[in-house]
Amino acid sequence: MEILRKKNIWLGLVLVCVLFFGQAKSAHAISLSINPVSEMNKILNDLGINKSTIQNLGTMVNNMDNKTMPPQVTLTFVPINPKEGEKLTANAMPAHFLNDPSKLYYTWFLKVKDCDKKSSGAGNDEKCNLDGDDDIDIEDYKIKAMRIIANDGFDWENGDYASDNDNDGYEANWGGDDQSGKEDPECFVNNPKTGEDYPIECDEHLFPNASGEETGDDEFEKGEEEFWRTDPHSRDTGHTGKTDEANVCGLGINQFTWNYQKGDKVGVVVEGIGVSPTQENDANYKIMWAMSSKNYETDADIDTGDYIPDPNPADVSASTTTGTSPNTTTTTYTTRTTQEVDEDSDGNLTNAGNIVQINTIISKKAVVVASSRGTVTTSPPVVTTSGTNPGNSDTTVTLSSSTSGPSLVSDDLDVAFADDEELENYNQSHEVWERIESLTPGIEDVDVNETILNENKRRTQVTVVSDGLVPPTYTITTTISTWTDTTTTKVTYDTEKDVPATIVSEDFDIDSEFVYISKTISTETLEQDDFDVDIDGKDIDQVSDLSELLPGALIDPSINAVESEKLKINLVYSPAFPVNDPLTDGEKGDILSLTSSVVNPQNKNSLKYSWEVYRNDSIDEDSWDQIIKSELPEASQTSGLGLNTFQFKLNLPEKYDDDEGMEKTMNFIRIVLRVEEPIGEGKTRRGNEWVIIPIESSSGKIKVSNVSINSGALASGDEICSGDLNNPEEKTICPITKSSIVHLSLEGADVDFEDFLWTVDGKTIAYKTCPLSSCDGSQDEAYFPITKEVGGKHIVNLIATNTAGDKISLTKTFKVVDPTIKIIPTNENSDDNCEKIKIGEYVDMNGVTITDYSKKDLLAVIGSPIKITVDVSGFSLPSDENNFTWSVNGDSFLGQDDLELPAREESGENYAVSVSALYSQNNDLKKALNEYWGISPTDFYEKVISDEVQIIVQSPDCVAEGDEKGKIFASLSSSIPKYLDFLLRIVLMSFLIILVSKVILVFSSETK
Amino acid sequence: MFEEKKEFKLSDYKEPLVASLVISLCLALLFFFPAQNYLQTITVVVFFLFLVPVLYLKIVAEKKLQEFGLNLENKKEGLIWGTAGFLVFILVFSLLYYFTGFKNNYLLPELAIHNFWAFLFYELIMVNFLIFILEFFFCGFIFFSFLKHLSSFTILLQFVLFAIIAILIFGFDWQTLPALAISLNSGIIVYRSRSFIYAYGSALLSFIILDSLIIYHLK
Repeated sequence: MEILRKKNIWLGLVLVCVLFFGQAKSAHAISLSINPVSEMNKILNDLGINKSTIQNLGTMVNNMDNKTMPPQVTLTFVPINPKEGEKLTANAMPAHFLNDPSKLYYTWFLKVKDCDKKSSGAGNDEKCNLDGDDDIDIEDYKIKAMRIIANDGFDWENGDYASDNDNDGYEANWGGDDQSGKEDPECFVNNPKTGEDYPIECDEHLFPNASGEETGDDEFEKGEEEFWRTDPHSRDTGHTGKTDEANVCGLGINQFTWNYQKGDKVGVVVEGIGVSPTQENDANYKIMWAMSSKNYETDADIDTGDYIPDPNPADVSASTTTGTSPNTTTTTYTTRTTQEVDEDSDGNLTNAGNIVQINTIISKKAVVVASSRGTVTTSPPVVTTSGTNPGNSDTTVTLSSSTSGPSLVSDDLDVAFADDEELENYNQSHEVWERIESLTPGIEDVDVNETILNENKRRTQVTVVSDGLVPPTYTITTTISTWTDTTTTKVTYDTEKDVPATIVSEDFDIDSEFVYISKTISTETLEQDDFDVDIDGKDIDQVSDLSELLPGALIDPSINAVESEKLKINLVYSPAFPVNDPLTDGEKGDILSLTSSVVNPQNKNSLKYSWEVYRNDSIDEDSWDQIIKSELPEASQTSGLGLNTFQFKLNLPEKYDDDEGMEKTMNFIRIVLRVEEPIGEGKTRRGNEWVIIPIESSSGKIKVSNVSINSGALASGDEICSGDLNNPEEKTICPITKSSIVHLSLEGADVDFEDFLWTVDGKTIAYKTCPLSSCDGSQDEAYFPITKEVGGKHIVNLIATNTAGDKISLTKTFKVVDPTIKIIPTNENSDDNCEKIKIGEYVDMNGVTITDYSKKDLLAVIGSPIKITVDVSGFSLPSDENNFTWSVNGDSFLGQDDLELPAREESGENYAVSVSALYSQNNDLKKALNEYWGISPTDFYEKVISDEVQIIVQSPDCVAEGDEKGKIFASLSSSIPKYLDFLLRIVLMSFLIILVSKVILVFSSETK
Repeated sequence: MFEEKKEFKLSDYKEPLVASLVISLCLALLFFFPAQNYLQTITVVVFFLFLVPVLYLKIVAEKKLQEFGLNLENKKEGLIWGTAGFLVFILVFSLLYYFTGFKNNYLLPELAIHNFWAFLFYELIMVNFLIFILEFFFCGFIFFSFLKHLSSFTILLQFVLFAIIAILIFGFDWQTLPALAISLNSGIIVYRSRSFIYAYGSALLSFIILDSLIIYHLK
């Protein structure tokens, strides 16, 4: 066995040698002075990896735990702008929970109007103080909301609460309904500044409780049923698919609906598990809560600086050694280092053999502090002094240490003087604490404050600021020495103030000439519970403390009201390619129409529209030039209520000067629509939208002419639809009869065009036989037949281009009408004896005054012949033939279009005149339609058309227009004869009465 | 002991009968005589409510107008009953004004409400003229034509006739109510004072005060 054991030892040695030296052989290039860091750097360089990248990566990995998103919940309201009494629904949208949303607990709370805390005792207790305690608080708000959810309209006042047999209890699980079976729940709150989660005690859920009951304990007896106003004989009074107690727990209740009144505030707190697991060896995730708030964020006010260790003396073991003058036996300590001792310039430093002594001679009262670095639990450095009356003679202060202690440097001995002004702010222990800090992960800051209480007393307060994490076990050793003139020593120790991070010398009532105090405080691992979470000035140690934060999570639904929402506007325009006619009286410019629709108004009738028009030569949003309304031809009203449409005629100059006097070409028009909607209380919603419209300019027009047919050939006749004074509306829409042929031509174009595309209703005009010299698209004229029925429209479009890149697009609209004839005065403006009768005037939307004339009556005076004529619309009849049948006061005869009636001698001798004619297509037209377009002869028709008027004949006095005064006298003078006539009749009647009565009376007297 | 029963004689009733005929003709012509404008309407009113009765009394009946109420006799009775009638009228219409829909339905010319001179013209010319004409016809001509035979029932007779005429012309509404009240008031005053002048004064004053009250509250 012994041999075998030795053999094994040798075998082990060989194996070690092989391993090490073998490697060295195989890597013979590596010297024995290998530096791992430099070698690693070389490897990284060879691999092309930046070292800092890896360092950043490591830092990122280290901080990964802090980057997780805490659970959150947001509230939205439907409707957005609730009215009082209206049903308002709050929707909770949780995020960053690991649970299914239906497994979360939503605890709603509703603070109704007049239920502020200050309302308590003001007659609102019954309405507001629902839990029956002394005040109105968040618990009452919770009860208010959860009652509404659980009750759901049940007639609780007539409920039978004598018994409860519906077995509707529910046992709530920490962290959500799907967390059952998990033990040792761990609850956390999150610090959004650092991203860290802080543990709090899982003491109770945030559910509202009935008086003396607990919600979520699987017991929901009749007392709780009555409190929550649920049906004791229904498992699910709230109709949520869950039991009544689950409803009170808010299980999956992510909606809350109530009748809103102004001043209501609502909130929700959601319980579930976060996305981060706990560090325990189990399946638990962190149980966390999310609250609704717009102006309050959970944990937002956590100040890590406020995290201080728990002043729990039971967790701290401390020992204090006191004594009188320092024991001079410290000379037995052996030296370990002598370095830097000679660098002390304030005193004599001597190397006394094995003892390191740092001697400082002081000649007045002083406070001497010496301390060691590092972890020292035994053999602390010792301060010695010589001299009995330091205030009056030189005193030597010595700091000595043993080999088991730390090495000393001159800075370890620090002397301050009580009468030195600097002493007041002298942090003599700071460096010591800094050393502690360097050895103690988790300590962020050490703050030392010195206060001179009197010449014999001073107060040293040391505050250690932790980063909030659990610091490892550490030992703090401090040595505080002081001296006075007395020789007695008295030390007291106040354990209650003995906190690990705060050492206050005042805790020790020192009254000694030379006192050596060695205070060793050793803390074991501090528990998480030792740290307070301070949120918004409130200590949060446990879940129930979170209720104090809930009032800050109440939201006023009117904050989300619709006034904050912009009005959304849709804006469309037509035509798609509008044409501008720059001529002053141009008629080819399109009517640019804009139509808007507001998507989200409260009341469409209260929308105020404001239209603005701008122009530019390019799409440059910064330099649009506004066109005011007076410059917009035929513009509709630009501002006012309900003006959701706007139009104007594109008859604008092609060139204009901008604000800086630069000439520009109007290539684009920008229409801006601003809409306002007053919503009460001085609030207004606004929205705006704009469109940029490319403008095609036209300096030409489509000329429309009648067609004459000579031997089957088509030729253009008189121009029609030119928009003359008598028929200005024809300029926009040309009335035309069915089965007629129209000649179209381009007129007034500034440039010569080469290619022409004529279309009717989107289709190119095509001919069965070409009626023009050529039909290859090079003709600036065209013919087309009217084929639609009465009421239909033909839209003719001409696009003309040339090789220079010029282009115009012109449109003409034709409306198919029945042909008409109308009797009119031959020449109203001359002295001819006939005129229209003015009925009145009206003002159109553009402010233009339009005179309205009678359509049935004409006016003439006595003594002159009356001249009338026939206005033919929609077709033509030869004027030199007797195509018209006239009827004058019943006498009919054939005649031409003009008629002269004999003069009348008396006023009131009126004429009743009618005229009729036959509308039909002649054979040449029928042949042409068939030849050029293949139109069947069956499409033609005939129709008798007529008109009739009464010509009222009056004396010139009645017809003449005079001033108003003259009219009054004329009226008076004309009515005087009538009155005299009337007076005569009434006088006669009166005398008749008198006469009759007289006769009767006389007769009766005679017969007496 | 026993009152002797009077023998009925037609001659005793000839004047009331003829007066009834004249009154009927006047009222009928008031309605049916064609008038095409305001001037003619006013002429009709003047003729058939004033001139014809006056001519009848002077020419046919050969009576003095003083006998038909155009006098200032019985001043004491007239003033007392005129004042009492005025006060009762104001009291009644004040109550109607404050407690019924009268104030919303009694209309005045817009110009008279906003222009004091127009108000004076309206009250002192137009209202005055109309009241005088009506008082003369109903409380003078009709009243005294039948007073001898109907005694106090004459008050009711003239009131009923006036009410029929007023309702036929204007309809029965708040606008007509003051005129009806005035008519009844006037009948009582005339019956007590034997003069329609006091009734006319009381009626004119009543209308002016009532209209003033309305205008005061409208402004």
